[in-house]
Amino acid sequence: MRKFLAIAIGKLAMFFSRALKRGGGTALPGLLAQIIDRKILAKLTSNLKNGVIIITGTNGKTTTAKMLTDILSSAKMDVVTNQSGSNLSRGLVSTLIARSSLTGRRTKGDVGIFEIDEATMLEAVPKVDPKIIVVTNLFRDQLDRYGEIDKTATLIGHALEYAKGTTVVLNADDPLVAFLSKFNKNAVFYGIEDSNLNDASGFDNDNRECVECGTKLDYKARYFSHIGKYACPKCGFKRPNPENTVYKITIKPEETNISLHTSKKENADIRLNVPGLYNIYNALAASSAASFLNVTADQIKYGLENSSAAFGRMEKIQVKDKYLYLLLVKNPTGFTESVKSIVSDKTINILLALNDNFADGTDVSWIWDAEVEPLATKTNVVIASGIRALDMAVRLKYAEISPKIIQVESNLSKALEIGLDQIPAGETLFVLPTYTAMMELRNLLVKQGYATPFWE
Amino acid sequence: MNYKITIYHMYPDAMNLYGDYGNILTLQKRCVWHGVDCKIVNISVGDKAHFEDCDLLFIGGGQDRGQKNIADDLVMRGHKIKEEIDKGMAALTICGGFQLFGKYFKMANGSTLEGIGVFDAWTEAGNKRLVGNIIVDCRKTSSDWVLKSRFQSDETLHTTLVGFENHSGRTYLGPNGKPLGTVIKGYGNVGDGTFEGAVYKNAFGTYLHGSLLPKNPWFADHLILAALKRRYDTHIDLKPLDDSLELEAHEFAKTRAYTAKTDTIK
Repeated sequence: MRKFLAIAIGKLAMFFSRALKRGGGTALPGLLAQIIDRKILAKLTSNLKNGVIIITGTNGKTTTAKMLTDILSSAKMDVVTNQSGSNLSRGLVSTLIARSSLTGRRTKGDVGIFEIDEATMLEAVPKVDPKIIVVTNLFRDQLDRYGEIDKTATLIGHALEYAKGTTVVLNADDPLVAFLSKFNKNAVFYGIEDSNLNDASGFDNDNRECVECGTKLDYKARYFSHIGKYACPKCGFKRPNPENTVYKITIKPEETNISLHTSKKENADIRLNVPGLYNIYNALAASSAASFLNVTADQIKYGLENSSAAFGRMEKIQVKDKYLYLLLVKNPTGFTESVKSIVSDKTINILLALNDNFADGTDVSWIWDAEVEPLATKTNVVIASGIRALDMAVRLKYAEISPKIIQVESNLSKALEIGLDQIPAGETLFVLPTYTAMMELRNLLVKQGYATPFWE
Repeated sequence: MNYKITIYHMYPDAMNLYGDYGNILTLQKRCVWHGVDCKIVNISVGDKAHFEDCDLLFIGGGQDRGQKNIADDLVMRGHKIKEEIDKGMAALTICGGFQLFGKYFKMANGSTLEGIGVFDAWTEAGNKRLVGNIIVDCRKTSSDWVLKSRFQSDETLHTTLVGFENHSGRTYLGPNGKPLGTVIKGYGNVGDGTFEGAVYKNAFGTYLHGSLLPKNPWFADHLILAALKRRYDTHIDLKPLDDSLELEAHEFAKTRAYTAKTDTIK
């Protein structure tokens, strides 16, 4: 009875939320349903015959989930996701309610792919009882909310202890993630094995000490931040050998080609539509999870090659005769890598939108840990926007971008208008917003008819 | 001739939370803009250091793990660092670094980290994390160090600090401990909204990041001036810079301290 009431109220809330255009109804229905029936999440996920895959980690959750969805869809599975980025447990409940019969006995779908915030893992894992957990990486993110990064790792570790029968898919190249195998016996690893790759960023300000003993790690290769091939000189903690690998990478301006080897000992050459090394990791994480569901390398290839960018993650939007690229940024490593991926020989136009609402992290000091310096020589139009537009403007000034060319406009709608107005036809405006700024910008673009709503 | 200062960045690999790099970057850029040569030397655990060559020491915040790793190394250098601070060396210590410049830090697991006791202060772990925007007034506490009427005529501009605090440690000042300032909005050293930070001669300790120096250019310049005084033993004047963007950001941060919602942390 509770289940019925929870689903009914949830469905009703979803209907009104969309009808009143208060967003996609991704949080409220779940909130109400959970108040009515605390076990609603477990009841609904048990309906999915291939179980649930949880994706967690600091960066790349949404993109990995999107890629995995496309792979599993190419293997003819009906996938339930919470890809709207509403990745708290109430978002999950909302997603499931939308697909469930009123009685809650049936839920449409073969498999669930859920993004879970690091901080809610302990709460979500016992409720969902996932078949697979994928951990992408652990960087600094919204430290004011979660506490420091070690605490986040421990939090995920405890969640993994709960999930005894779950396969845990871990990034071997991230020492903090690899360390998590201590908490669960069914760990499998993925990593990059291309020996030609060694592109260490100059800003190595994340964790590079051994998680076990605190000694500084030795790196044989470091790809970015603390990601690479590492070993502790003192206690012997080292990068585990991954079963799922990308062993060859060719990066061209328009596309990235990778050679994939899966744990089922199959190979595939795959062209990715999204740039950057971090997207190779996302593709690898998604492929690794898929291969455990007996998806073939051909299906992985088909799924990845036909995958489009997740919403707000290097999403291209045409506005009349001009283009926008949306790249969500939320932490130093993501910001650094996003800047790297948009800087080229050409001059670029950028709009950086920094908010400090709860979902963005109320502390904006992370922008000082990101390497934005490559922007200094290659920019034409530069706009700082969002609630903390001035903080972003100061950051750019200290990256030696002349204050004369930095335009400060905290109003996002106006900033977008200025940006589009100032670039010539055919050109692109790169927009790097934090989470709530992206939601606001995207809503604007939906209203103007240039983008589709994220719940579609 | 070009003036020259040397900055020691202590343990940049372990103590670098919450935008600490922004402080070093700000000192470096402002030195360049002022026409002062600035050499930055990174000192990690076990590295040789000559503190008599150092004009300004910087140490940032770290996680507990980072702090444990460096505490022993720091204590071994403690005597020399204190000696140079008594001779005029400037220092900026933030969060975890600030705690280690006190007498000790009693951590959540019950163990104690020894500090070097530059400040008459000690720290104990607290239950609730103190997180949020903070405004600090240095007027009442700073009569012996704030450089009045420098650059701007409006005195409040260069006696106020804005930033963001995020600490679970509570730092108590002893009888000889002087605070950096009084809290206008925020938690401060022990979470009661009274005092923030500590000062001893030209050494400053604070929980403010955000980063601290970019939005408080007067304080950045104060540190550079203190470093110049230490090197050349005479007052050297810096030509004013156009800080309008920084000061706008400073003013906005003050407003935001009142309008931003504060988080509740478990």
